[in-house]
Amino acid sequence: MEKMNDKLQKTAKELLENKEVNLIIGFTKGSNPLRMRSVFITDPDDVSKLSFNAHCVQDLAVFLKKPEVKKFGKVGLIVKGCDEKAVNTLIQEYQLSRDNIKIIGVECRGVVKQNLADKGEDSVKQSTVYDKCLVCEVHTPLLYDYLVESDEPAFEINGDIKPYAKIEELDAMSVEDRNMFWQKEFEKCIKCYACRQACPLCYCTRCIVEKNTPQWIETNIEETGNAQWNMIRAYHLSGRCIGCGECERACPVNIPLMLVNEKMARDVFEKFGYKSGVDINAKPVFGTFDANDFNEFIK
Amino acid sequence: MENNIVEDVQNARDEKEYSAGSAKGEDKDKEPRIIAFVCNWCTYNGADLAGTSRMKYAENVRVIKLPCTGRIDPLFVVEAFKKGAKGVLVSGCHPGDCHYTSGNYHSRRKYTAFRDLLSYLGVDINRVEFSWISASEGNKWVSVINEFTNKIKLLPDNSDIFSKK
Amino acid sequence: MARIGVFVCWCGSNIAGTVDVKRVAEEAAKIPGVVEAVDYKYMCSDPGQNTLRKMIKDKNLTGVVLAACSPHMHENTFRKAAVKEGLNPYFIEIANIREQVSWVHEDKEKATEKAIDLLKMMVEKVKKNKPIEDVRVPLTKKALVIGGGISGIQAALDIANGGVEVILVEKEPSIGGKMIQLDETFPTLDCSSCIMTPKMVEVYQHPNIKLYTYSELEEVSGYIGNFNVKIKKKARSIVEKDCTGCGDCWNICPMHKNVKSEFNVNLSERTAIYVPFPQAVPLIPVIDRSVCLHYKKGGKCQKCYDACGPKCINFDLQDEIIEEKVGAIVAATGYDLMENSLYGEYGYGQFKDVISGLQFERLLSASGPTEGVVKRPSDGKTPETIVFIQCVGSRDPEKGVPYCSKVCCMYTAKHAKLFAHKVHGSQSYVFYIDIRATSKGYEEFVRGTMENEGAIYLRGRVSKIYEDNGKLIVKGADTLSGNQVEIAADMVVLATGVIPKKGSDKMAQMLGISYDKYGFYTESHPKLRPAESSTAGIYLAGMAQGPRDIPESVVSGSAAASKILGLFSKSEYEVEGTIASVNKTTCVGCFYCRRVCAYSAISKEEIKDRNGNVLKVVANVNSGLCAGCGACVNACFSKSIDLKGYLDEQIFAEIKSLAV
Repeated sequence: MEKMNDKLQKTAKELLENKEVNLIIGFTKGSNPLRMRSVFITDPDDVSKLSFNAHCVQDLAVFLKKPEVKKFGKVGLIVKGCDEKAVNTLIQEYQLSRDNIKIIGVECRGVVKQNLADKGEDSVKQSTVYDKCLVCEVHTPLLYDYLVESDEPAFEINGDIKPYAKIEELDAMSVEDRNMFWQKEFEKCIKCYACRQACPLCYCTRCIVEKNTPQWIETNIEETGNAQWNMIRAYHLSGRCIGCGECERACPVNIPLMLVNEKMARDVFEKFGYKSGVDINAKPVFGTFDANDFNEFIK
Repeated sequence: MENNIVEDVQNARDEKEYSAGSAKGEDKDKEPRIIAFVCNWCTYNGADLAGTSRMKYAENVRVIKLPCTGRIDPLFVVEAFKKGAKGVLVSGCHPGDCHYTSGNYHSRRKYTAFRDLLSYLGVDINRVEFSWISASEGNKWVSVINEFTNKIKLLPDNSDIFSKK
Repeated sequence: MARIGVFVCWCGSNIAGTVDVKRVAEEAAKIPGVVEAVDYKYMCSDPGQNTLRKMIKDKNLTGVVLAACSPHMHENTFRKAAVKEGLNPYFIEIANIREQVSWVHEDKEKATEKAIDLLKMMVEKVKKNKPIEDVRVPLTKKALVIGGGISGIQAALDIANGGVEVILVEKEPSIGGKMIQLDETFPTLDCSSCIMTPKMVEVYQHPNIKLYTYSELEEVSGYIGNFNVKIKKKARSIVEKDCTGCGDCWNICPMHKNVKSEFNVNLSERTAIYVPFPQAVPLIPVIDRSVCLHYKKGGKCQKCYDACGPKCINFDLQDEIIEEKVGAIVAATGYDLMENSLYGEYGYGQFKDVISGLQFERLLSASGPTEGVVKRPSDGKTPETIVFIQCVGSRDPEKGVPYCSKVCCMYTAKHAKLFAHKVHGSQSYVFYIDIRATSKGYEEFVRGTMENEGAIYLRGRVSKIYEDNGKLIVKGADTLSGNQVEIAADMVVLATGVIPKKGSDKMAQMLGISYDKYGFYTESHPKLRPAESSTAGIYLAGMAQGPRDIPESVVSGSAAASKILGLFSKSEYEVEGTIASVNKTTCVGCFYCRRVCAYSAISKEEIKDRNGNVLKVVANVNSGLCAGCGACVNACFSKSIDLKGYLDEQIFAEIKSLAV
């Protein structure tokens, strides 16, 4: 890890000193040693704060939508492969100019689930990492200006792994049972919108839930409105969600939002062969069409 | 058009009483309500043709006309469910026939994902129908409406997350 | 607060027979905001319309709902009546209780209920409406025609003769296109250059036409009535106004070998300073800088300059960018022919005497490389037997294109006929799949070739061609007799398929018009709007739309011209106000709206602060281009675009009115 941190710090220092960026967003050690938090560095002398390890869970791309960050102009972002896809999507959707970002990609071997880390878990293995790490195809980010290689070995995957196993279970259920499942989950929703705030791609300055002419989503806390919010959030992220899992991690009542996001991502890939956040020059799947698209459900 | 406050209050009261009144008279075993969102150029004309040809079909459907299927937001479907519609039909021009060249293609993509999402969240996808009906297919309009109405009538009572309780 | 008047039409017994119109009116009167509800026998009649107008005036109505026949029948009638009383026409809504109620239902109770529902929906919709103004767009009454082939020339002349200024842009050094390369034209066999040259000259001399040859379109922006175009006028190296076209320069040019003539499809050579053909318009040479010795050898050769009397050669001329403002555009960019080399079995490029149809045209032409005497390229001998192969590339989804190129059947019949006329005692064989000769005089023409000129038509394909002892041995199948045939020919002519002009996709993207999977421009409507592109103000003509013959190309050029003259006959272009509009405060600039817009109606607009710093980039709807489909509204996540006349709020109000 020390070698990684050295390279991170060196890269960040150079970028700041050469004025190639005005701000570096990265990770630093939190008060709890097994928790890493975000850090914003503008002074080259502060780069020693930067650090990376298997507890760097947060998708720092979320900060790119903030006006406080935008005002810095050129920004350097330390980012894992999964989260970097958010950067690509932001570029695709004109929220970010490629010229305004220096991507300091880190090779990631997987991050430890935070609830386990909080209990002292410090090892990266099949049973301790997030589901997304088990299916990760981007240990090395797809797009970067600088790459910081990992000096850790990849964890071993044994047996038949089934990340997001509940998706298949839900698919196999009757529609009534699925309804029961989600009704129970959405009942818990307190409409705090933490899922939205944590999402790097929920960048609208006025969210649809805040529009009241007409009122698209009932904002009082009752079942229909809760379900509607969660449904529309997932719908708006279909074909866009890059699977960082931040919404689920932010949810104070533990609604398994990734089960919806991942399902939709699989669905979009199956129907349209599209994976989000892969190519900054690709047309977003719902910004284009093909005359031979899936037509089976139409009479 | 300045209103005085007395008038405003009276208007508000009228609205409230009126909606309360119309809701009260509803019978439990009333016919299921179906809302059809249709495009102006193909399906609306197809429905008109069914009329000029004096074809007969089920009365349950209420048509909302929009310029194009591209304008028919999937979230309208959710809104219709919330307001008590038991079935929703979306219908427009056949692929290649869109008056606006590609509205139906864009719509088809969106509905593909939307339907999967709805179903995954526990909504009986039989409640949403999608069809291509051209201006010359009055007979298709009739059969789509009749078949859909029959299907909706056979569905169990709504219990999914968007249904009005 | 809304003041809405409701009219329930009986339509005689058409509605009143199945719907209890009195009850509908009674129920309507109870809806808040409805000031009066009446029923009437025939609303569309003059007295009916007068009732409507009177109530608008007397009751000071803000909106009207008619429960009547389909809006597609009389919406306009009622809107016009309302406008006369000063009401915004979009505040008239129609509940369709005839086509969608009384004519399709029998149960009077249920039909009446449905009619009431439909009426309620429309009342709620009108209540949520906002005033809509039709959009008026000023018109720059000048047209741009892209492409100087026959269809572009026709369009330019028709527009110019209508009294409108035209800019004609042609990529090549001369106008004339493909047609000027042809010898005689089917089915009348009049000489192509005899009928084409006068038109070219007319273009050149027309006071309303500004001609830019050797020029290309560089950039197009704007919208109907107000396009800004940039034209790149490539450097000819000639001061055009001084040139007399005397020919002293090209006659002295030392580069007269090894440069193939484009006009003669590589069958002859041309000089570095050249006019493509003697009747070129304008008759001004151009220096091909890629081969000219002056440019290649550091300025040593300047023989042409020395020979030039008026001294109009200027080696230092640069490309020029010309900006023009036009109100309408015709895209007549023409076509190319497929690469014959795709069909290795025919030996094109390998055997000199296997040539394309266009090359054969040049061999037939009196202005061609052989001055109209048919000579084969290999040894200059006059061929006695020619095999013509049709559908080379056309109707061949595997190797070529699936569509029919339309003109090949006819020009092959013409070739066989002209060959018979020119070389007595000669013999033609034609391999074909089907004969398509559907226009006036065409079938008779093909029959004539078969019956009077003795051309032998063989239905089938050629499998192989090889050279043997100075002959081309053509092996093929005659599927009608079931025999394999082998013909020893002196020459083989390939009827090559038509494809869109190279770069037509780029052109379409520049113009913002749609094109099909082959690259042909698509019409706004394939039947009813064949001259219009998908973008308002841009019209189509000629083979750029797909294969067609000369008369059809001329017709399409005239059609585009008549559309433009019609457009320009008004002082302003008026579009319905039911278009999209953006809430720029909440728009976050993701531009999904722009991606789904089929009309390129959405542009990026920078919102700046007082000091000119860009605060954000938002979507802007160009009202001249928006067609009002609403796809952008659906694409917007934050609901920052809405469609006038079909506002989200109106749709919600309709749904709500049906709440059970």
